[in-house]
Amino acid sequence: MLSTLFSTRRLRKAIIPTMANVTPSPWHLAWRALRHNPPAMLSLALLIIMALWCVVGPYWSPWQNDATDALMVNKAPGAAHWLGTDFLGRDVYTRLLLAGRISLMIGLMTMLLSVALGYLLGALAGYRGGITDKLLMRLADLVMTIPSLPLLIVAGAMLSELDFSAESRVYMVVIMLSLLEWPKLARLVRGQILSLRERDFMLATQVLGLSSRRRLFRHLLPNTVPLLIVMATMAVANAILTESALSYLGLGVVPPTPSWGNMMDAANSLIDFQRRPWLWMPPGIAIFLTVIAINVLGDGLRDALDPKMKPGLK
Amino acid sequence: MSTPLISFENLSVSFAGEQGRVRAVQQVSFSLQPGQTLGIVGESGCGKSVTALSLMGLLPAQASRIDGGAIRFEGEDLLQLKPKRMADLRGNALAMIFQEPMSALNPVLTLGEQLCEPLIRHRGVTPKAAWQQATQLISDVGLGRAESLMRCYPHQLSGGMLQRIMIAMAISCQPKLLIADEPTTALDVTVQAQILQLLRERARAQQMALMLITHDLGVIAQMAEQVVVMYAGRVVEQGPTADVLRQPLHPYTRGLIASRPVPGERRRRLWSIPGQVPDLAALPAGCAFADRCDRVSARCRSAVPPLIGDVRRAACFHSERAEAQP
Repeated sequence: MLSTLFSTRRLRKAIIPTMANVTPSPWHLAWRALRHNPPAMLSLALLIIMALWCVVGPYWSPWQNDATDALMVNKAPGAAHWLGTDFLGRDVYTRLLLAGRISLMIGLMTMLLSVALGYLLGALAGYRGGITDKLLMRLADLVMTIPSLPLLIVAGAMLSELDFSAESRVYMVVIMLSLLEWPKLARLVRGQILSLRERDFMLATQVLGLSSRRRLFRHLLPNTVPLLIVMATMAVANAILTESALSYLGLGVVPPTPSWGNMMDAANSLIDFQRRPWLWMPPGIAIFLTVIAINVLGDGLRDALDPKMKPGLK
Repeated sequence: MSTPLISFENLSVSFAGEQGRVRAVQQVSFSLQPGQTLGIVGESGCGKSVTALSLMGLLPAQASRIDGGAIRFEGEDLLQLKPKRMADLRGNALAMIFQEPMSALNPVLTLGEQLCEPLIRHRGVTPKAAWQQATQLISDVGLGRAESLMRCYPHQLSGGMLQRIMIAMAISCQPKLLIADEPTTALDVTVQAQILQLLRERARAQQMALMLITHDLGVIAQMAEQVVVMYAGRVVEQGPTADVLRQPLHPYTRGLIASRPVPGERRRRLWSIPGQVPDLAALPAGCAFADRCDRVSARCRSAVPPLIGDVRRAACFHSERAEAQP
């Protein structure tokens, strides 16, 4: 008797906070879940620090990106050059940060472009259905069936022939990567839209007589935002990785513009590889840490945003 | 009697199935007076929901086909209306609530945002005024702390509370007809009675006709003035609720009443109608209930019994009325 009384009181206490005036939005709840995920938060912190470092770091460095020094070629790390110098006597630390800017920028820009493309086409295919859906999805299938690396190598080789300036090469790489990345995103979005479209609340919006534009933009698409965030995060990691591979092969970002991938090119030579690890270890570690961190963060975001995992939602 | 608010006239709907057309609704005729409460009762798959969805114009466009008949709303045939005009009626003069309140609300929008939408769409009020009206609606459906509920998300409320919100949303534009498709099936028994009470109260307050779709005869007995019993896509019996329940004419109605669990009667085994609902894609030539009926005769298997009668109608060759006629 007493125990039942006690338990109801406990229960009531547990219910009151959720019913109080502060009503946490789904975003609030997701952020709360993410905060209680140490690996994801650690990754987020690491990414923020790395990005800030890459952006701000070069201003504090005494060395210029392109400043070569014939007397200081291939020096091991020391007090003056923290991470040593390369075969032209350039400071590896400064180049690493500048390369980080380029690589992160390529990652973000590719993400924006491919997500925009993939989301738009995927949503269109899912919502319109019929012939639009068939055409878009066959196109996506076509792009996905072609192995991406050989295709990128061919495209990169063609770009080298066409003789673009080093800066515009960066944008070319972004476009190339985006064109290969969008089908995956489009498929995911389409699948999500197809299942959401059949949910009761979409029928309910129809029962209320809302316009189809309003149903699409206010009711359907906001429900795909969690998926979009997760996809976008993963896309950044993927783009950085592919860009590195391409640049490593000399077909992505080309010197003198530094990128983590083309800095790794030093590992191509046996002597550099064996005797001068400061040339290729730092960009390698940078790529590794960035991609791992983004993927862990992406996983954390998925756990946080997945409505099935959310507490209080059956 | 005045002109009915809604009248179904020989409505037939079929769906494309793997083995030919599935005739979900056949020759359904009944009407509903303004402010009246009508119950549609029957087993799963007997065409109750399809009847309601065709009224709202929400049948899946590719799969379904209206084979004939008309649905008149104040004299106007809803099946002939342009989609735009139909969208103006939906949520405005015609409203509907669903079985699962949890899934019928958008999880990423607050209740307030969702409640305001039909008001802005159909009444053309400003968002600010809509917010105030919506807050009032929440209190009208018996929920406290309306202001804070407006800022809540669906997952923060219980099923019963959400169903009240759904009702608030449905009645926000003062519809002339509210269709409630199994409104209490997904709810706790204790909450069911409250929701039904609320529906009855709002229907009375707003002079709103109520079309209650259910498989629960108890709900019908409490709520409905008129009852339509459907079986395998056809209306098999219709009439004032009290009469139909007290003196069922069709053997199927009798079966439904007999198979209701009665609290307190423990020892008796729960009765059930033998057999199953026939496949709607391959209906027999005669009465669809013939295989399960205890009064079946040769005539039942050769012809579909017509729905006859005036105030009370039944589709059975063996009902007292039918036998009295030549």
